[in-house]
This record gives sequence, C-alpha cells and structure tokens, in this order.
Amino acid sequence: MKTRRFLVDLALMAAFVLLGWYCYDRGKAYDFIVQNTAYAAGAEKLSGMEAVQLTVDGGAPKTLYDGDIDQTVAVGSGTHELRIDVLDLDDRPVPGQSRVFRFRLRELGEKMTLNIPFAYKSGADVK
Amino acid sequence: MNSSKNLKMFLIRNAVPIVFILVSAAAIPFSQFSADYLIQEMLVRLSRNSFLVLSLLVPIMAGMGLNFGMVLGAMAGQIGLIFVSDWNVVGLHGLVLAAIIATPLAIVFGWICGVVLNKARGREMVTSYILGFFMNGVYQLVVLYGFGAVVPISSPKLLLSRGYGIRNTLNLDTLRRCLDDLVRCEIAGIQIPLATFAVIGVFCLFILWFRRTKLGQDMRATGQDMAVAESAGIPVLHTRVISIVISTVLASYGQIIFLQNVGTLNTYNSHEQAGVFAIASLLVGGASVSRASILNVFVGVILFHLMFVVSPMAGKYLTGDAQIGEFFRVFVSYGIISLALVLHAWRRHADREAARAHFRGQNSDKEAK
Repeated sequence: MKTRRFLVDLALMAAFVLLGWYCYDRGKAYDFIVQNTAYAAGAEKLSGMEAVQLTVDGGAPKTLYDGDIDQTVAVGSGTHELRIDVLDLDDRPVPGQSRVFRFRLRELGEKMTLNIPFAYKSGADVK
Repeated sequence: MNSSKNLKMFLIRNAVPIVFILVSAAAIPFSQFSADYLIQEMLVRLSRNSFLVLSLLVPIMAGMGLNFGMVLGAMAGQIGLIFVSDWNVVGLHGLVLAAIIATPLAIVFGWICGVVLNKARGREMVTSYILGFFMNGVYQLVVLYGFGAVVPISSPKLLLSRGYGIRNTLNLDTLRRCLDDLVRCEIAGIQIPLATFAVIGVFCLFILWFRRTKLGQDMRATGQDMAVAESAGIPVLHTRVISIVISTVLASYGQIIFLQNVGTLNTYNSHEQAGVFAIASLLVGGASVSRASILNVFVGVILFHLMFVVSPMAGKYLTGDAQIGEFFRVFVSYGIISLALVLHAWRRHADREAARAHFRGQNSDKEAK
C-alpha cells in the first residue's frame, strides 16, 4: 500500500515537473533583432528592402524601412513564422509580394539577429 | 405561529445579506450607474474573486473556521508570478507555470499553518490571522533581501536599482487577462470571461465531489465534533492539516487568477488584503464561521463588490464627497464582519449554555427519580 502511494506521489510530481517544463518551453518569450540592412554571405549580396511589414507568429505587425534595426519577440522554442509584406509608397502591403519565412531561434546565432532581405529571399510565397 | 417563527429564523440567519441587499438597493439609484456598467463590473469582480473565496470552504468544512492563513497561499502565488515574470514566460503558459511553482510553496506554507493551528485548537481564526502577519514579515524579508541576492533573479525590470530585492510594483502585462480573454464572449456589449468562469465552475464541482469522498466525510465529521471523530478512528489532526493545505494551495491559484485580471502585482501589499476581502465576501453572502456553501460565495462576492462599486459614487452624489461613501462602505463592510463573528460567538455560547442546562435538567431528573 505504501509503495503504491509512493509511486502515485512520484507520478504526480513527475507530471507536475513535466507540465512545468512544457509551459516554460512553450511560453518563454525571446527577444531577437530584426535588421533590414544589406546582407552578404560569400558571393551572395542582398541590399536592404525599401519598406516591409513584419509579423511574427501572427502577432502585432512592425514596419521596417531600409536600414532599420528593431527588436521583436517570439514565444516558445519551436518553429516560428515570420511574414514579410512588401509595402508600397502608402505603406500598404503589395498583393502577391508577401512571403513567409520559418525559422528556429537557435538558428539565429548568438546575437539572435535575423536579416530581413535574407529571410525574404529564403521564404516561401504566401498562398 | 410556526410560519412567523420560520420567517424570524430566516431573517436572523440571513440578516447580513439582507442588510447588504437593502443598502445596495438604496445606493444604486444615487450612484447613477447604468445597469450595463454594474453588470459588467460584477461579472469582472465575480471572475476575479470567486476562486479566492471558494478556497475558504474546505477549512470551514473541517471546523477550522475562516482561514485567515490563506494569505500564505496568496504569497505563494505571488512568488510564482515573480519567477514567471523574471523568466519572461508569457500568456497562459506563464499562468500555469506560476501555479506550478506556487503549488509546492503553498503546500509547505499550508502544512506549517495547519500544524500551528492544531496547537491552537479552538482559536484557529485569531491564530491564522497572526500567523499571516508573521509570514508576511518572512515574505518581505525574503523578497526584499533574498531575491536577487540568494534567489537568482536576473531581470532588471524586477530588481531594485541596488541589485537585490523586488520592486514595489510589477507590471504583469504579459499575463494580463490571458485567462479571462482565452474564450472571448460578448453579449449585448457585456464581456464575459468564459474561461475564468469555467475554471471556477470546475472548482465548484471539485468541492461538491470532495464532500462525498472519504476525506471530505472525515472533514465534516471532524468539523462537527472532534472528540466523536477521533473516537470513530478518524485521524483528526491530520485531516485538519490537509484541509488547511488544500485551502492554501487553492488560495495561491486564486491569487494568480486575481492578479492576471488586475495586471499589476503590488509585491508587498497585494496579498495582505486577499484574506480579509475574501472572508468579508463570504460572510456577506450569509455564511458563518461554521457553515458556508457555494451559494454563499457567489452571493457574497456580488453583494460585497456591489457595495464597493456603488457606495463611493452614491456618497459623492449625496454629500459631494466620494470619500464619505468610501468611509461608509468600509464602516458597513467591516462592521458586518464584526457582527457576523460576534453573532457566531454568541450563538456558540448560547448553544453551550443550552446544552449545559439540558445536561443539568437530565441529571436533576435522575436525582428526583
């Protein structure tokens, strides 16, 4: 009886710890930097985009002009989705030019920086 | 004759809620609040406070009176929220994590409280009240000097400029209304926090179920007569400790739900009022020190907070000064608590006297025979 009770207590504690870990993993907010600046890696060179609107995981949109560097937030350690809408002269999204870039935070390096021209080039068209 | 006696008994038993209903009904027209506003306010306050008040039911069931020691649970909940804010865990996940962190702390606090209350049988309420003050000092010492120095806290948003100790006020913006807004529902312009009410509903079901369990029956037996329960083989002291532990854990969850609704944590004050307000609400709902139901909780929260909302404005329109209405509310609210406690003590004394008289009568009958 005592062994059974001990096992039940142990299982409850394990469930609590696991639930805690899951909540921490899924709920932790990470700040990272988005920069709309020129990108160069080897032979590949990309210039900054004129004006883009960024949305991380369907959150509040953020507008970045050429040369802008800003900070944004992604919640959880899983794969995140950055939607990049190219803006026209009136700062309205240009239809057919939006792309989605999927990334993991650990791919952003130690400085947690994401280059927007690179993300736009690597992203997939929005269907 | 019998019906008038029944009516009299009904009025005596429900004197407190009846007084509150009458005073609130008189104050509502003077306050000039619209019905929509009052309904919205009551729904928000019901969702914010009900869980805390419900946590008081278990110790009453076990005959331990009103658990002023629930502030210990509130402290545990706040410590959970401080950690979650430091780790920057947001939304519902943050709320659940805060509850998970608070649970072992609340169990330890509740156990300490239960053991102390077992040493002070018959004076549980005043003991738990003073224990709350004592633990408040310990909490302040730990949070003001330990956090950041011994307990690792890294966020500069939380720490005082000297490098240790938590700031007086914490912004819970990342957690604010994350449970309330989980399921959005709006009827005729009135927002209803469905998810919070669902959690409260589950808690009510838990209490109904718990009363029927072996432990619940043991608690009821202990609450009715400790000596009889003891002779029936119920581990009375252990049962009492468990009731306080359950209450403290639930109070910690209640405080987390309360603070996610408010969106700001007053590190050194938020928990202080939790116990008094919850107990006042329960008493206003018609509960007594030895008898309380789920209905008392909801009636009490509505009436107590209706008075909260209405009286300052009624005072302002009647006398030109909102502060007078607030004074009136404080006077009536806490006067009612005192009255309820005095009535309970008086009833207990009267019952004891009656039992003694009955015993003497029986003995004198035996002697006469």
